[in-house]
Amino acid sequence: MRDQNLKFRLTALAAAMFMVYGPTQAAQVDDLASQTFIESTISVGIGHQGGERQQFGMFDGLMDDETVLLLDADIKTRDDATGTWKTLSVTNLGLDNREIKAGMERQGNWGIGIGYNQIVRDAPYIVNTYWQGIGTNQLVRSETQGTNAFAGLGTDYRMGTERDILSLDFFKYLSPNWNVKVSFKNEEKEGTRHWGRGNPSNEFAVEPIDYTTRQLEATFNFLGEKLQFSGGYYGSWFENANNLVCERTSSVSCIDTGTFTSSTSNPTFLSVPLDNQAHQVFVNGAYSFTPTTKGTFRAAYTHATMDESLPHASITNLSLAGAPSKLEGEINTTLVQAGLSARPLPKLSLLANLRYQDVKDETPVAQFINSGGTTVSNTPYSYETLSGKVEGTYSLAMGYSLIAGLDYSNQDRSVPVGRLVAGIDQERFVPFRTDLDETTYRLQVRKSLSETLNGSLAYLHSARDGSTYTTAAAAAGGGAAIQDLIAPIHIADRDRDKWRLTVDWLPSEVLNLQANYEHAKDDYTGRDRGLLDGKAWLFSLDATYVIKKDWQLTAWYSHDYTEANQLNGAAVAPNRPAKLKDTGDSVGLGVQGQVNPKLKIGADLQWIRTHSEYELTTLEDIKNRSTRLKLFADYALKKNADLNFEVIHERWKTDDWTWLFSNDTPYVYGSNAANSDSTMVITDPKQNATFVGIRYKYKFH
Amino acid sequence: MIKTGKPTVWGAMGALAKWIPGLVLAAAFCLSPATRAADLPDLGKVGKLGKGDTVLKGDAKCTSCHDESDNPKPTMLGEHPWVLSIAKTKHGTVADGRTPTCANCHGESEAHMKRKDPSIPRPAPDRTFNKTTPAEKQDEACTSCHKGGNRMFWESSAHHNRGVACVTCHDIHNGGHDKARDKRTQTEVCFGCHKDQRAQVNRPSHHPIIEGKVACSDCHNPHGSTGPKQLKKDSVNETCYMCHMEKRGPFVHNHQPVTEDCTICHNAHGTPIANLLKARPPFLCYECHNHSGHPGQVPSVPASITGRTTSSSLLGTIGRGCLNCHTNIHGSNSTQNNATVNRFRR
Repeated sequence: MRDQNLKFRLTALAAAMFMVYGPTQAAQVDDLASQTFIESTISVGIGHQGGERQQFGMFDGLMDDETVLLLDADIKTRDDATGTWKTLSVTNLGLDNREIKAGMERQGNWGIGIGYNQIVRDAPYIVNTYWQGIGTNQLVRSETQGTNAFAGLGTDYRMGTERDILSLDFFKYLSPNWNVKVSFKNEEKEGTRHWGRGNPSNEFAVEPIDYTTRQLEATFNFLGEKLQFSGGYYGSWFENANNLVCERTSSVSCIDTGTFTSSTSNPTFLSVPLDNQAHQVFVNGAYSFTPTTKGTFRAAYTHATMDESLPHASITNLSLAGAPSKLEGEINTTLVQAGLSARPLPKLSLLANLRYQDVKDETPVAQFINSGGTTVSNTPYSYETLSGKVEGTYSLAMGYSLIAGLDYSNQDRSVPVGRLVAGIDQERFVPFRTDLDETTYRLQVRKSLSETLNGSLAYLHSARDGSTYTTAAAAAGGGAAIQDLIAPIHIADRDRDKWRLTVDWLPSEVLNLQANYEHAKDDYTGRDRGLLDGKAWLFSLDATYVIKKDWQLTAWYSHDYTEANQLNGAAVAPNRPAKLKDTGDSVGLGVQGQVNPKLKIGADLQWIRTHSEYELTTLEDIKNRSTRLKLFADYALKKNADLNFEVIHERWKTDDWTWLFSNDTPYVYGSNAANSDSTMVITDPKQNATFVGIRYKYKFH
Repeated sequence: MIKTGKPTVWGAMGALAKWIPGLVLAAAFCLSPATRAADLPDLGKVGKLGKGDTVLKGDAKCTSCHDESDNPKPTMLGEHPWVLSIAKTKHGTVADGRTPTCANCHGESEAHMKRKDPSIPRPAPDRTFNKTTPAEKQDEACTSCHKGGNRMFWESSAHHNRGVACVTCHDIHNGGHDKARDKRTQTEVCFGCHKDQRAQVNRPSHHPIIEGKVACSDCHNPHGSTGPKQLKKDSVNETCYMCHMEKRGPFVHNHQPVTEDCTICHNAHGTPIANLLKARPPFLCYECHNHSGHPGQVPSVPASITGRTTSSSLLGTIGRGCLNCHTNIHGSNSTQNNATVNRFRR
């Protein structure tokens, strides 16, 4: 998925930039000039990556051995007579995560900016498969794939995407009080995404990614002494170059008209997201009634639609005769919020706000499927939420303050009705609720205004409940309303308690310590299946120590733990308890210092360990460990030029069984039947990589 | 009809994006030091340095003492808040008539300047920006100019109401390099308080935050907003759609939690499980789904390639878990048949 031509052009660009800026005369600056003149830098160098780093390289494309150009630039000029800035920023030009921004503005008058940003995301494993047409909307099953002996003998692929983002920004002050801002962003996202389908065995599939998204925001702002407001438009558009993916054997075509009622039909069609768009108008405002009393408001209305033709409608037998050819999806969202902050007494400040949000899915309900006499309609969901908050802060003696608050939320939720049998909707597989209420109480004591010791202790309790659950339909496999024993996690009755303690201590001028402890506990009540309870806590300690003049040490440690207790199944199936535990340990160490006026050195170490346990199940634990050590040195060749050396060593080790059979061999899709899928997923549990880079950094005014 | 390519001429924007580096090269030439800005109409008052001023209008009375040798924290590496370095910043753009002088932020500070008794320590300026000055008093210096726009909701924000001052995050004198406003260094500022998120972004599955491609401020407005958790948009989903618009739908078959809140299943900062999932399938799915069919079965992993199976209990844990089959979990537009569609299998 990499564009080699683009890389070549960028290398040429790097050379050109250095020719433009390299010969610039650097002034022999004195201390005053170095502190007051705007400084620009260009650094150019070369780096070599050796070893394997699929895990660390997910977002920069550097996974295997590679030599790369290192070029960064930060160029700024200001015309002091007019206050006109020109800026050019280049980051990682030689890598696949490059970013370039250029801008020009006359401060307080007008400004324009243009940017290009590239973001890659590659899967940290290899897929070996016989499927052909990967990356397109036709996946063709090879006639040769099938038995176990074929596994691993296909073609290697790495799933991944690349985003190319172009942004444009503009602002203009129309008067000292009025300005207009416009921003536009266009993003092209291309590549492949690991997909799948049941057939009924597990089969590999790939979603072709070829998306275009655009966002446009235009805002008028008024900035008065007491009144400020903004009004504007925000539009966003999504377009998918594909509207359907067809899976087939090489002997049939994608326009073959079978009955398509079976999941094993040949061809088989997989749906993809279709084009959608949203338009929002909004107005925000604030008014200062007095120097210590301020009111705010926001009103926004969003009209979102999805009206692209459903591709199935044009394929015989693939949809219900007479069903609409478009969903005509429409969601209209209204938001109104008003707030007030005030300090009625010198020691008392108050805050209150009220928020109303109505997300109304107004998509017409229609039947799109009739399979074996079973009709299926679309399922719009709407939410109407009214929430509010009041909070007071009272200053006590000796720098202490007390904060108390109350949050309340009430939600009306729609429950779509599909195909009713004996009063029960056969298309709903979990219980729903039409009303949900949550009240949160908060209390905090804070110590501040001390040069040596500050901190806070906070407690939060929230209680959530709601209306009677609607009954869900029985699922495949039967059972007496088993699905109604569960309360879905996001609407279940819940009691939550949270504690948080922070301490910031400066025992001496050279040492700063920061400690943090957080504890949370959830209890889910009312039904005895699903998540029953959970808890989490985190402890962290940070330290900064100035060893001596121009030498500094930083260190931090963090330990966190989460636990969730579940109970699943019932009646015809035995109860299935599970206790899920996740533990994380993180350590960061950094030291840097000035060896002599010309040489600065440093080191950063980061060590991360995660441990996932699946108690009360047969699954094995999973441990991940990553270590990253960075050594660097900056040597001043002259006042305006440095040589930077950098060595980064990374290690990744895991026993994650996600893509492994229980005998630790790579997972292979399909079944033992002939012509079954034989796609193999290959992971690398131990990865070691070292990067060595050298740069020449040039500074000029 | 199955599409075969880019749907509209807007697709050409992608091709244009590839040429941006070339356009920037042209811009680089335009930016050469010899180029001068056009003489543009000025809407504000153009400021100029007065007699004796060094970097800001009217700074003479301060810079006569606070000169280029004034570095209040000489031992802190990488932090050289030279007083005069404000000249390199937007505040130091004197031509912009709105920019301040020292006293606008620090107060007239008569007692500080006119100490009469050398035997007692010099009184501090009227307004100092350290831990002994209440945050709201510090912020008055900033909010007298920086109000409205993205800071409209500052006074009702969690940061403001927990004693976070503007200078807690922003470095005003540091030569134009404000860590909070640089995507590559912003996390150093945010993680100073948000330790939980620091641990999460270092998990095996994370947004490219530590890689410098996504910043906290891409999703959050630290100056306050009307969204939950100070998100930039009015809801979690609207914020996520800025980059994941394909999930917006609406779909023929919507998955209810998806339409409500992405964070029911995902932790945006990072988790040990692929795709930022809060729990590994099938346990994640078991938080809502309880059946006597395969959602109630024992999670386990197939033994070996010779044991490949169609058993959903074995296929619901390995690989993508339940999503191996229920692949379009964010919503499906299929109309093929009831067994596959409203269970998000096609």
